[in-house]
Amino acid sequence: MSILRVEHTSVQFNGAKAVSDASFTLGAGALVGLIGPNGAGKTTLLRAIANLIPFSGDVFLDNENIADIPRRRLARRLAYMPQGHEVHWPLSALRVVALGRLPHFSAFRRPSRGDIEIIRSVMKQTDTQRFAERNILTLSGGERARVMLARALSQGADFLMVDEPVAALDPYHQLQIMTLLRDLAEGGATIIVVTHDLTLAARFCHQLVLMHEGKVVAKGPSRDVLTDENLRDVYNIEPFRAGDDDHPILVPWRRLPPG
Amino acid sequence: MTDLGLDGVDDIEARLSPRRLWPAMAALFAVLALLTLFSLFFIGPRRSGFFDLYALYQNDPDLARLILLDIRLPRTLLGLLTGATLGLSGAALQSLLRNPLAEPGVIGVSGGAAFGAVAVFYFGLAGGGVLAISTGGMIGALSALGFLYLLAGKNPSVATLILAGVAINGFAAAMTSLALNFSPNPYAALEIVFWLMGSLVDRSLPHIAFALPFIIIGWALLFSAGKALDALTLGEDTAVSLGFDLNWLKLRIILGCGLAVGAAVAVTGAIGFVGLVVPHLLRPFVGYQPSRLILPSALGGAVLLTCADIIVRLISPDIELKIGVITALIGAPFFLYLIMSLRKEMT
Repeated sequence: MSILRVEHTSVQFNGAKAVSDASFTLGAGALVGLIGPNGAGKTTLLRAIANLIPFSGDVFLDNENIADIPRRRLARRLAYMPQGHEVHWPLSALRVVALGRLPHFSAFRRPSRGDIEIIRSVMKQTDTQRFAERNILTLSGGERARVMLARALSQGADFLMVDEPVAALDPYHQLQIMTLLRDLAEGGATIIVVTHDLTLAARFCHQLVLMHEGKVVAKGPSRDVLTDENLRDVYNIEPFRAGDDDHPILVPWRRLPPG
Repeated sequence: MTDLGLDGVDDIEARLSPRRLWPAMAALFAVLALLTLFSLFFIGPRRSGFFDLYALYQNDPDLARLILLDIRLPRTLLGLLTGATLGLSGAALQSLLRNPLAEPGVIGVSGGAAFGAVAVFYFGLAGGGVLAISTGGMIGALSALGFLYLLAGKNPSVATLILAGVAINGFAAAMTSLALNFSPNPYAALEIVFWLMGSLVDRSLPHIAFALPFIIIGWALLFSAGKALDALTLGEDTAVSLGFDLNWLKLRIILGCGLAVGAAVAVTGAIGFVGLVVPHLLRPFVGYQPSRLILPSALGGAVLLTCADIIVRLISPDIELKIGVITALIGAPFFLYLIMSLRKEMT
């Protein structure tokens, strides 16, 4: 199944609403782009869906409220890749990816052949096996981002929340990662990807959710979301537009006065 | 870029295998066994060695047994237990706080234990039984843990934990200085100062029996935290998303370190640098992953402290050189060297 239902979800930080009454349903096999300007509440909403911060409202995975799912079982069903790619010790890329299998281990169990096969497969998919033994702190931003995505993928979860996975990547790897996410979605996973690249979002995502000042202001296929009106009201930009309505090529072209 | 040949499952399994730790672990075990034997049988007062002990056993077996079981055995066991506790706690705290400069004293429990013991000296209760000072130390350690919990709250951030530890250490140090300032006589002050330097001398099996339950509970809490500490390497959000309860992890580490280090300090006095240096010493051999560092750090701490105790007995058989002085003398310059090399490695 892999159906994600977000119902009236709100998040407050020190009394200020960071996310306000977000509601949407994503079917199995959906790759959804979560877009919006800086500070719109995208990361906060993603963290709420991953049950990492307190929130009001409900989030359901296949009709099961995440508040009722024990943390370890939730980790086997939903993987989260934060932005920033924090790593505190100089571990090898391989060891970082292997950490994604932790929810599948008991306290003293070592990785099985099945775990190793998954680790090998996700490293190949993300093109990270070439620097598997390198210290992660010495990798470039883009290489590190791919290792982090491989780590999240190695959790083997049906629901994947990915925060800006292509922000630091070169064009080749942007296409590779977005293709991979789309393939995973078409294999049955439900994926939300936060991105600022509207063209990539329009091309690869089945649906877009546009946020502004904590609210979901538009959702649906790109032709309904990436309208000139929405881009003006939310981003304060006028885009240069090419391509067709379903797969627009959007280049930020002119700033508009706020409001 | 070269392909490192990780296409095969066997390659990856070999690289992740815990067997890679075996050479380092075997070496640590071997060194520890040798040092333990050396400490028990080969190092005596005024450079007397194994044959002196053997000769004594021939002449007066009861006396030889007394020396071995009542003097050297407690000293050696206490060195092993305290060293292992400090090494283990240092590795766990550095991993929890994600700070290579963290050491067991950082949470304030050592300071609390030291003040508790000093209070026993100050109020003239040190003669109130063989365990009077240790009991005072343990009360001090548990009080410091209680204050830490009150100051840091139920869901403490790393910064709050460190700051609460600094505050408790500062307060305990001030109270210790106050006790010294108003010490009833110079002998009491000297006793306090000597105790604060840390020592394994004149401790007995009852001291070990007193500390052992706290140490074992502390070790159990710390040894079970390896996988959660691994996850924490990727930050708090990722650790939670990997299924770990961070509040329980923090409580487990703080309580584990507090009980084990508190009990060790309550019996031996403050012994610095072991918990700080040992994890750094071992990382080049066992790697940076916290779960792989925990057991070797316990063994390494036991090796280092036993070694320091042997050095104390070898270089100063007549006047007792305090083991805390030796660990600081060796540890401080070595730590400076480590910081320099770490600076290169972490960037």
